[in-house]
Amino acid sequence: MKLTKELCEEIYRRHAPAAFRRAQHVLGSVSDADEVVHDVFLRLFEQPAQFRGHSLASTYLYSAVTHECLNRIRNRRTRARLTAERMHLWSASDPGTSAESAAVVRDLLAQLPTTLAAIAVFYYLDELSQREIAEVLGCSHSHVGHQLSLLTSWLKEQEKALCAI
Amino acid sequence: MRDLKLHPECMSNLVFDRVLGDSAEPSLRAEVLAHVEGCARCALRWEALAEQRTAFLERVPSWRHLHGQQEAKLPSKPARHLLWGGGVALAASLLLTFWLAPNVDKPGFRSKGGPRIGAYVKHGEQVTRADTGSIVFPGDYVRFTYSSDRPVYFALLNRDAQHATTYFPLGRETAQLEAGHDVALDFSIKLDDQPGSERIHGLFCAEPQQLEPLRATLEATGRLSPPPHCHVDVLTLEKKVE
Repeated sequence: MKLTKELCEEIYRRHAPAAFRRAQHVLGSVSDADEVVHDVFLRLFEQPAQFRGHSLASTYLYSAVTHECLNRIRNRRTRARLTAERMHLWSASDPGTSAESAAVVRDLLAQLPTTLAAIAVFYYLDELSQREIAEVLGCSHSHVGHQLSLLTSWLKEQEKALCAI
Repeated sequence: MRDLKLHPECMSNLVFDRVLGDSAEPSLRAEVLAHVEGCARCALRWEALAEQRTAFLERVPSWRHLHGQQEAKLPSKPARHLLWGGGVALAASLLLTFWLAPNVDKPGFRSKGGPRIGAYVKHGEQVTRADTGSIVFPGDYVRFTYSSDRPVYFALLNRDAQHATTYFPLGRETAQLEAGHDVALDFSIKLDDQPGSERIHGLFCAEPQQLEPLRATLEATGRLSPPPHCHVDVLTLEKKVE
């Protein structure tokens, strides 16, 4: 399927704002979020087959944006910059979270295996249900439940480690 | 574990985004608007999402605008589509010539050549390299590795006594990985307390593959026959109670 310019613009208008909001929420930077949105949509427009119509565009983009953000967090230079600066607010819609807390959260996301980090974003940030997470990721509800159990255990261990310092 | 952090009747941002993006069914849209009218928390969330949406489209109103903005940051790179086109052609020719003999799945035997999976097992504080037939115990942590002399589309599936699970990746299809030797995957599993064989299947393919049909076949039959242009390497761990 070849995408026309008009269709690309339509897809962008419908879905890019949410993609940007979520990317900025994870990365804490407007410029980084713009890059994520651009790269994800460019890949989609250049290779529409990867979408394959197997899911709604919204669920495909939720997954693609999250993985792109997590890849960037894992980039050493980005991590160093985010941790060192600690200047970014977590979200405009959540002013109660401090920039230091946001940096800690991003550091934790970088330590998690990709699968668990993605689920952490969907569960704690997007507040998706297990069913919705399974829909976005294209896996079973029980698998998501199992991964959430692993995530909770890992977070509890991190909490103990932080308290012990 | 409580499934929803929101109140059960509240909808997630995923649903709100679908409605705000005009990509929801009319019935869902009506349901969302009715809920927002009656729920103070969701009304605030809805308003915030709508405002953020408007602000973004005012700043970057079109794909053409965003693409131009990003491309302007990279003046020294060749046109992205030309670079991509050449890269894809080369990668495709390499991947489609990728072929290995089918793995002979016999107890205690694994083919020495070709792509393969491996594992490290953490038992208490001791970490050891595992191979097929290795004894493991409930509570052990296992971290898997892969080795391939070329980029591959890869997945890791497990079959225990009753069920088949896709360990990696989390999405619908195989993940594209770079060539490497004994590269550790970025997760580990904790073995449950059911004794028996854990048969881990590493699927190495020249093209992307959908995972659910393969997982379902593995669960139903206990075997994973490699699709065309794919290779399967099987690692069997014997879980015993101490």
